[in-house]
Amino acid sequence: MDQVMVTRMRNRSKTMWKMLQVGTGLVIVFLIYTVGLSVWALFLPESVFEAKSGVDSWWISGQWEFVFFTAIIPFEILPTLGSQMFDIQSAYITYMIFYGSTSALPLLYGIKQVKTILTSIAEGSTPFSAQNVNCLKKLAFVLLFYGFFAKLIINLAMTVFVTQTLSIGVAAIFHYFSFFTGLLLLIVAQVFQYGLSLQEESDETV
Amino acid sequence: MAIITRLDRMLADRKMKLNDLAKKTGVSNVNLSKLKTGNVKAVRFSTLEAICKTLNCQPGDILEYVADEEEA
Repeated sequence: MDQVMVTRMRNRSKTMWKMLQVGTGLVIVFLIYTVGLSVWALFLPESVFEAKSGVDSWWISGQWEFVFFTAIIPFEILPTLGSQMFDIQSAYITYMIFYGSTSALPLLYGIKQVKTILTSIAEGSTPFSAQNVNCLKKLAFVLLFYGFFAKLIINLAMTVFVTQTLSIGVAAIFHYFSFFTGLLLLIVAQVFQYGLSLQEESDETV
Repeated sequence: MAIITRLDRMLADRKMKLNDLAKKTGVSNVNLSKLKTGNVKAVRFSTLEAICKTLNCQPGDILEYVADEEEA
Protein backbone atom coordinates (compact mmCIF):
# COMPACT_ATOMS: atom_id res chain seq x y z
CA MET A 1 0.00 0.00 0.00
CA ASP A 2 1.06 3.56 -0.63
CA GLN A 3 3.12 4.88 2.31
CA VAL A 4 1.39 8.28 2.20
CA MET A 5 -1.99 6.57 2.43
CA VAL A 6 -0.84 4.47 5.40
CA THR A 7 0.45 7.56 7.24
CA ARG A 8 -2.82 9.37 6.55
CA MET A 9 -4.79 6.39 7.84
CA ARG A 10 -2.70 6.29 11.04
CA ASN A 11 -3.15 10.02 11.64
CA ARG A 12 -6.88 9.73 11.06
CA SER A 13 -7.04 6.83 13.52
CA LYS A 14 -5.18 8.87 16.14
CA THR A 15 -7.61 11.78 15.68
CA MET A 16 -10.62 9.47 15.93
CA TRP A 17 -9.09 7.86 19.03
CA LYS A 18 -8.79 11.28 20.70
CA MET A 19 -12.39 12.12 19.76
CA LEU A 20 -13.55 8.83 21.25
CA GLN A 21 -11.58 9.61 24.40
CA VAL A 22 -13.63 12.81 24.73
CA GLY A 23 -16.76 10.76 23.93
CA THR A 24 -15.90 8.31 26.73
CA GLY A 25 -15.62 11.21 29.16
CA LEU A 26 -18.98 12.61 28.06
CA VAL A 27 -20.68 9.22 28.42
CA ILE A 28 -19.23 8.79 31.93
CA VAL A 29 -20.49 12.29 32.83
CA PHE A 30 -23.93 11.35 31.42
CA LEU A 31 -23.98 8.13 33.48
CA ILE A 32 -22.97 9.94 36.67
CA TYR A 33 -25.53 12.68 35.90
CA THR A 34 -28.46 10.28 35.40
CA VAL A 35 -27.63 7.98 38.31
CA GLY A 36 -26.68 10.93 40.55
CA LEU A 37 -29.93 12.81 39.89
CA SER A 38 -31.93 9.62 40.45
CA VAL A 39 -30.28 8.99 43.80
CA TRP A 40 -30.86 12.63 44.75
CA ALA A 41 -34.50 12.38 43.68
CA LEU A 42 -34.91 9.45 46.08
CA PHE A 43 -34.55 11.78 49.05
CA LEU A 44 -36.90 14.50 47.81
CA PRO A 45 -40.60 14.78 48.68
CA GLU A 46 -43.06 13.40 46.13
CA SER A 47 -44.70 16.79 45.64
CA VAL A 48 -41.58 18.15 43.91
CA PHE A 49 -42.36 16.18 40.75
CA GLU A 50 -45.16 16.74 38.28
CA ALA A 51 -46.05 15.02 35.00
CA LYS A 52 -47.56 16.51 31.87
CA SER A 53 -48.84 14.49 28.96
CA GLY A 54 -47.33 15.62 25.63
CA VAL A 55 -48.03 14.44 22.07
CA ASP A 56 -46.12 11.17 22.32
CA SER A 57 -44.45 11.30 25.71
CA TRP A 58 -44.67 12.21 29.35
CA TRP A 59 -42.84 15.33 30.50
CA ILE A 60 -41.75 14.80 34.05
CA SER A 61 -40.24 17.80 35.75
CA GLY A 62 -39.36 19.00 39.18
CA GLN A 63 -37.35 21.70 40.88
CA TRP A 64 -35.54 21.56 44.18
CA GLU A 65 -33.81 24.81 45.09
CA PHE A 66 -31.55 25.48 42.09
CA VAL A 67 -31.64 21.97 40.57
CA PHE A 68 -34.07 21.01 37.79
CA PHE A 69 -35.13 17.43 37.29
CA THR A 70 -36.47 16.68 33.82
CA ALA A 71 -37.23 13.48 31.95
CA ILE A 72 -39.13 12.86 28.73
CA ILE A 73 -40.58 9.37 28.82
CA PRO A 74 -42.16 8.08 25.59
CA PHE A 75 -45.66 6.59 25.82
CA GLU A 76 -44.29 3.25 24.56
CA ILE A 77 -42.28 3.08 27.82
CA LEU A 78 -44.84 4.64 30.14
CA PRO A 79 -48.39 4.23 28.79
CA THR A 80 -51.00 7.00 28.84
CA LEU A 81 -52.58 5.89 32.08
CA GLY A 82 -53.19 9.29 33.56
CA SER A 83 -50.67 10.80 35.91
CA GLN A 84 -52.69 9.83 38.99
CA MET A 85 -52.26 6.15 38.03
CA PHE A 86 -48.54 6.04 38.75
CA ASP A 87 -46.05 7.49 41.19
CA ILE A 88 -44.29 10.30 39.27
CA GLN A 89 -41.19 10.26 41.46
CA SER A 90 -40.73 6.49 41.03
CA ALA A 91 -41.24 6.87 37.27
CA TYR A 92 -38.54 9.56 37.13
CA ILE A 93 -36.05 7.60 39.23
CA THR A 94 -36.65 4.27 37.45
CA TYR A 95 -36.47 5.79 33.98
CA MET A 96 -33.33 7.80 34.68
CA ILE A 97 -31.46 4.90 36.27
CA PHE A 98 -32.40 2.30 33.65
CA TYR A 99 -32.22 4.65 30.66
CA GLY A 100 -28.84 5.95 31.82
CA SER A 101 -27.32 2.55 32.48
CA THR A 102 -28.75 0.73 29.42
CA SER A 103 -27.51 3.55 27.16
CA ALA A 104 -24.19 4.39 28.75
CA LEU A 105 -22.80 0.96 29.66
CA PRO A 106 -23.14 -0.63 26.16
CA LEU A 107 -21.85 2.63 24.68
CA LEU A 108 -18.77 2.60 26.91
CA TYR A 109 -18.11 -1.04 26.04
CA GLY A 110 -18.56 -0.32 22.32
CA ILE A 111 -16.26 2.71 22.44
CA LYS A 112 -13.62 0.56 24.19
CA GLN A 113 -13.72 -1.95 21.31
CA VAL A 114 -13.48 0.76 18.64
CA LYS A 115 -10.57 2.35 20.50
CA THR A 116 -8.72 -0.99 20.54
CA ILE A 117 -9.15 -1.29 16.76
CA LEU A 118 -8.02 2.30 16.20
CA THR A 119 -4.98 1.77 18.45
CA SER A 120 -3.87 -1.22 16.38
CA ILE A 121 -4.16 0.88 13.19
CA ALA A 122 -2.42 3.90 14.74
CA GLU A 123 0.47 1.74 15.96
CA GLY A 124 1.10 0.73 12.38
CA SER A 125 0.21 -2.91 12.64
CA THR A 126 -2.30 -4.43 10.24
CA PRO A 127 -5.99 -4.05 11.05
CA PHE A 128 -6.47 -7.70 10.06
CA SER A 129 -5.59 -9.28 13.40
CA ALA A 130 -7.37 -11.81 15.58
CA GLN A 131 -7.74 -9.12 18.27
CA ASN A 132 -9.61 -6.80 15.88
CA VAL A 133 -11.87 -9.61 14.68
CA ASN A 134 -12.77 -10.26 18.33
CA CYS A 135 -13.37 -6.55 18.94
CA LEU A 136 -15.70 -6.34 15.94
CA LYS A 137 -17.61 -9.41 17.12
CA LYS A 138 -17.96 -7.94 20.63
CA LEU A 139 -19.13 -4.64 19.11
CA ALA A 140 -21.68 -6.49 16.98
CA PHE A 141 -22.96 -8.47 19.99
CA VAL A 142 -23.25 -5.39 22.18
CA LEU A 143 -25.31 -3.69 19.44
CA LEU A 144 -27.49 -6.77 19.07
CA PHE A 145 -27.88 -6.89 22.86
CA TYR A 146 -28.83 -3.21 22.91
CA GLY A 147 -31.22 -3.67 20.00
CA PHE A 148 -32.95 -6.60 21.68
CA PHE A 149 -32.86 -5.81 25.39
CA ALA A 150 -32.33 -2.10 26.14
CA LYS A 151 -35.94 -1.00 25.67
CA LEU A 152 -37.23 -4.27 27.08
CA ILE A 153 -35.24 -3.82 30.29
CA ILE A 154 -36.54 -0.23 30.72
CA ASN A 155 -40.07 -1.41 29.99
CA LEU A 156 -39.89 -4.26 32.47
CA ALA A 157 -38.37 -1.95 35.09
CA MET A 158 -41.23 0.52 34.58
CA THR A 159 -43.72 -2.33 34.84
CA VAL A 160 -42.21 -3.68 38.07
CA PHE A 161 -41.39 -0.40 39.85
CA VAL A 162 -43.97 2.06 38.50
CA THR A 163 -47.13 0.95 36.71
CA GLN A 164 -47.47 -2.70 37.74
CA THR A 165 -49.25 -3.02 34.38
CA LEU A 166 -47.62 -5.05 31.64
CA SER A 167 -48.11 -3.40 28.25
CA ILE A 168 -45.29 -4.16 25.87
CA GLY A 169 -45.60 -3.89 22.10
CA VAL A 170 -42.99 -4.85 19.48
CA ALA A 171 -42.06 -1.20 18.92
CA ALA A 172 -41.38 -0.88 22.63
CA ILE A 173 -38.88 -3.74 22.58
CA PHE A 174 -36.74 -3.49 19.45
CA HIS A 175 -34.18 -0.89 18.50
CA TYR A 176 -34.27 -1.79 14.82
CA PHE A 177 -31.37 0.45 13.91
CA SER A 178 -28.91 -1.02 16.43
CA PHE A 179 -30.15 -4.52 15.70
CA PHE A 180 -29.41 -4.24 11.96
CA THR A 181 -26.15 -2.38 12.57
CA GLY A 182 -25.13 -5.27 14.84
CA LEU A 183 -25.94 -7.78 12.11
CA LEU A 184 -23.95 -5.71 9.59
CA LEU A 185 -20.99 -5.62 11.97
CA LEU A 186 -21.12 -9.40 12.34
CA ILE A 187 -20.74 -9.61 8.54
CA VAL A 188 -17.84 -7.11 8.69
CA ALA A 189 -16.25 -9.31 11.39
CA GLN A 190 -16.50 -12.29 9.00
CA VAL A 191 -14.87 -10.21 6.26
CA PHE A 192 -12.08 -9.33 8.69
CA GLN A 193 -11.72 -13.03 9.53
CA TYR A 194 -11.11 -13.71 5.84
CA GLY A 195 -8.73 -10.72 5.72
CA LEU A 196 -6.87 -12.26 8.66
CA SER A 197 -6.27 -15.52 6.78
CA LEU A 198 -5.05 -13.54 3.75
CA GLN A 199 -2.78 -11.49 6.02
CA GLU A 200 -1.28 -14.64 7.52
CA GLU A 201 -0.65 -16.01 4.04
CA SER A 202 0.98 -12.75 3.03
CA ASP A 203 3.13 -12.70 6.20
CA GLU A 204 4.43 -16.19 5.47
CA THR A 205 5.40 -15.29 1.92
CA VAL A 206 8.96 -14.03 1.36
CA MET B 1 6.96 -30.28 4.11
CA ALA B 2 7.82 -31.87 0.77
CA ILE B 3 9.67 -28.82 -0.53
CA ILE B 4 12.94 -28.05 1.27
CA THR B 5 15.32 -25.15 0.71
CA ARG B 6 19.02 -25.59 0.00
CA LEU B 7 19.91 -21.96 0.52
CA ASP B 8 22.42 -22.74 3.27
CA ARG B 9 24.25 -25.18 0.98
CA MET B 10 24.33 -22.65 -1.88
CA LEU B 11 25.63 -19.95 0.47
CA ALA B 12 28.35 -22.29 1.73
CA ASP B 13 29.33 -23.16 -1.89
CA ARG B 14 29.58 -19.45 -2.74
CA LYS B 15 31.30 -18.70 0.59
CA MET B 16 28.74 -16.01 1.21
CA LYS B 17 27.00 -14.93 4.41
CA LEU B 18 23.27 -14.40 4.75
CA ASN B 19 23.87 -10.72 5.54
CA ASP B 20 25.76 -10.22 2.27
CA LEU B 21 23.01 -11.94 0.32
CA ALA B 22 20.43 -9.72 2.03
CA LYS B 23 22.39 -6.61 1.06
CA LYS B 24 22.87 -7.71 -2.56
CA THR B 25 19.31 -8.92 -3.17
CA GLY B 26 17.47 -6.26 -1.19
CA VAL B 27 15.48 -9.00 0.57
CA SER B 28 15.41 -8.54 4.36
CA ASN B 29 17.68 -10.62 6.54
CA VAL B 30 14.67 -11.89 8.50
CA ASN B 31 12.93 -13.14 5.36
CA LEU B 32 16.06 -14.83 4.06
CA SER B 33 16.54 -16.46 7.43
CA LYS B 34 12.96 -17.75 7.29
CA LEU B 35 13.58 -19.07 3.79
CA LYS B 36 16.81 -20.77 4.92
CA THR B 37 15.08 -22.54 7.79
CA GLY B 38 12.05 -23.40 5.65
CA ASN B 39 9.60 -21.41 7.80
CA VAL B 40 7.71 -20.02 4.83
CA LYS B 41 4.59 -21.01 2.97
CA ALA B 42 5.34 -19.28 -0.33
CA VAL B 43 8.18 -17.61 -2.21
CA ARG B 44 7.61 -14.72 -4.62
CA PHE B 45 9.10 -15.05 -8.10
CA SER B 46 10.78 -11.68 -7.58
CA THR B 47 12.56 -12.99 -4.44
CA LEU B 48 13.61 -16.16 -6.22
CA GLU B 49 14.86 -14.14 -9.19
CA ALA B 50 16.94 -11.85 -6.98
CA ILE B 51 18.52 -14.79 -5.14
CA CYS B 52 19.25 -16.73 -8.35
CA LYS B 53 20.74 -13.62 -9.94
CA THR B 54 23.03 -12.98 -6.97
CA LEU B 55 24.08 -16.58 -6.44
CA ASN B 56 24.22 -17.24 -10.19
CA CYS B 57 22.17 -20.41 -9.91
CA GLN B 58 18.85 -21.97 -10.92
CA PRO B 59 15.70 -22.09 -8.73
CA GLY B 60 16.15 -25.85 -8.63
CA ASP B 61 19.49 -25.36 -6.87
CA ILE B 62 17.71 -23.60 -4.00
CA LEU B 63 14.49 -25.58 -3.82
CA GLU B 64 14.27 -29.33 -3.71
CA TYR B 65 11.34 -31.72 -3.64
CA VAL B 66 11.62 -34.58 -1.16
CA ALA B 67 8.77 -37.05 -1.03
CA ASP B 68 7.18 -37.42 2.40
CA GLU B 69 7.55 -40.81 4.05
CA GLU B 70 3.80 -41.41 3.85
CA GLU B 71 3.79 -40.62 0.12
CA ALA B 72 6.88 -42.72 -0.63
